[in-house]
Amino acid sequence: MAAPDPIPIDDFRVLVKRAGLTLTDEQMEAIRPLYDQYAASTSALHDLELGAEDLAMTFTPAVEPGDGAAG
Amino acid sequence: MQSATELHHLTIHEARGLLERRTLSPVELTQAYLDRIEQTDEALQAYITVLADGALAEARIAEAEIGTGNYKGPLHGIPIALKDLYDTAGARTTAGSRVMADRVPIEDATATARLKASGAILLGKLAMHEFALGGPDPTCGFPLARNPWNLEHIPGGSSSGAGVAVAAGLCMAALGSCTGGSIRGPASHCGVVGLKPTYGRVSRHGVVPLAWTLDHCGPLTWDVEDAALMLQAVAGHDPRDPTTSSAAVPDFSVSIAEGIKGLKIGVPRHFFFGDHPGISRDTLTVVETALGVLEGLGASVEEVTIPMLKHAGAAHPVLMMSEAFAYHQKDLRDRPQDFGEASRSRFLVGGLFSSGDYVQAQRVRNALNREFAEVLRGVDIIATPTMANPPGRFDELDPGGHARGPNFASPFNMTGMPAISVPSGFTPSGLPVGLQLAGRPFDEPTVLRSAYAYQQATAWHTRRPSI
Repeated sequence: MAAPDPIPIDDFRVLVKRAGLTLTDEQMEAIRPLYDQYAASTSALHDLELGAEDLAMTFTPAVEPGDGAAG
Repeated sequence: MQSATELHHLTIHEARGLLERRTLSPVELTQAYLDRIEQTDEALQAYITVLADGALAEARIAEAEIGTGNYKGPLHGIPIALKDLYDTAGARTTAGSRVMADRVPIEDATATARLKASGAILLGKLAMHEFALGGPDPTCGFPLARNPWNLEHIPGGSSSGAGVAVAAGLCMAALGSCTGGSIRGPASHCGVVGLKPTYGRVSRHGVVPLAWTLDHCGPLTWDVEDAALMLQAVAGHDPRDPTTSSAAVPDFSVSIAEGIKGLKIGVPRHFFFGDHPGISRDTLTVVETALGVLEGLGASVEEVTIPMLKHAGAAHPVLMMSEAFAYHQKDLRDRPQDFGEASRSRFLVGGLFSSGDYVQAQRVRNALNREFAEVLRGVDIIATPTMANPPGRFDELDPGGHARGPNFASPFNMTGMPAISVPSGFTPSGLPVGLQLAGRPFDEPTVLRSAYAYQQATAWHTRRPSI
């Protein structure tokens, strides 16, 4: 897989600030490659056509075996 | 009287009868394990804290209780250990991090309390990856547990010490925790059984969280019967954990030996047996053989398709790291130097995902649930390799590897389905490989029955490392 395009440092600085973090430039450079690695796969999630999938059932595993829907 | 060497090779279901009949004393058994820890743990690093005095005191109480006819059941007098994120009243609980290095809880986790109430003897607290995040980190401030099959190799994690301690005979059973494979992974890599029950089956009250919607508690044991006994002791509703189910807890042992003739087993080959460079051919060869064993026992094995699996690997870290960031945000801001480098980096990145990322990941999770539920209308069990690769070498650790290779265990954390890893063979270089069997929500009995049938048809679970 090709290496993802790195996020520009100024954009990254905005993300860090929005998260309520105070990081030095050195600390930001240390985690930026990891962010880029995840950002590439995360961005692909937004391209999925998920139709009517909502969150209402996310944490409700079926009570009895055979009930079907696993939460 | 048995020698100490033999004692540390007993299973719970073998020892229980000896203890109940008073052929074996809990004190003698506990001392044998403490001696074993003393002899081998310098090399294995499975324990963070050994509670020798407390364990012997508990063993003496158990001995007196059994001696006066008050036998409590199969765990009475059984020496066990806990991953060091289960709260233990009066004994420090570190979660494998300098952030909690001096933390001493004032009360037990619900699972701890239930094990104690069943008469189990607590030997100590086990090594783990920092805050249960995958991947050994030499900068976390704690020694890294080592694989007893080859000390140069990782044991898997994050319940690393649990896998090592059970495999090497440093405890009879352990509780681990699992957010993306942290019970089944070390079980597979160390050649033991690891059971992640259904989400909601076991209380997580008093267990340091990694990601609330993905965390599960469950046992690592030598064999499937012992996994059923351990689960029995800790399962059931807990008013202090609102995610626990109020459904009745079945007897997990009663149907374990009923066999799997006629059972339908689904294999999502497109994902678990694909042509991905991150999947080991040695692992697939072992698991193909295991599928043949299941067929030989009368089960039918068929291919199933779960398209959303290919997106699970992208959605899982968004959920896990976002939730972990929410839990650790204050410490990341106030004392970042106390985190290991790997945890700190990944938790910080968790804070950089957007709310849209998190919601989209949950929607993918929901779609994955729906697809699994549909498939499980036609089959009873899903069978896969537990891990994509055998345990790697410490000197070849890839700090970013967790995000590049496929994770075969985490889809079942996303769906909450029960899943077990059972020993299924070895690579040509002598490292263990696990077979993963997953079932419908709250259908641990079928998962255990399938794993037991496979176990009884093979001899992998009888092999132990020579350390």
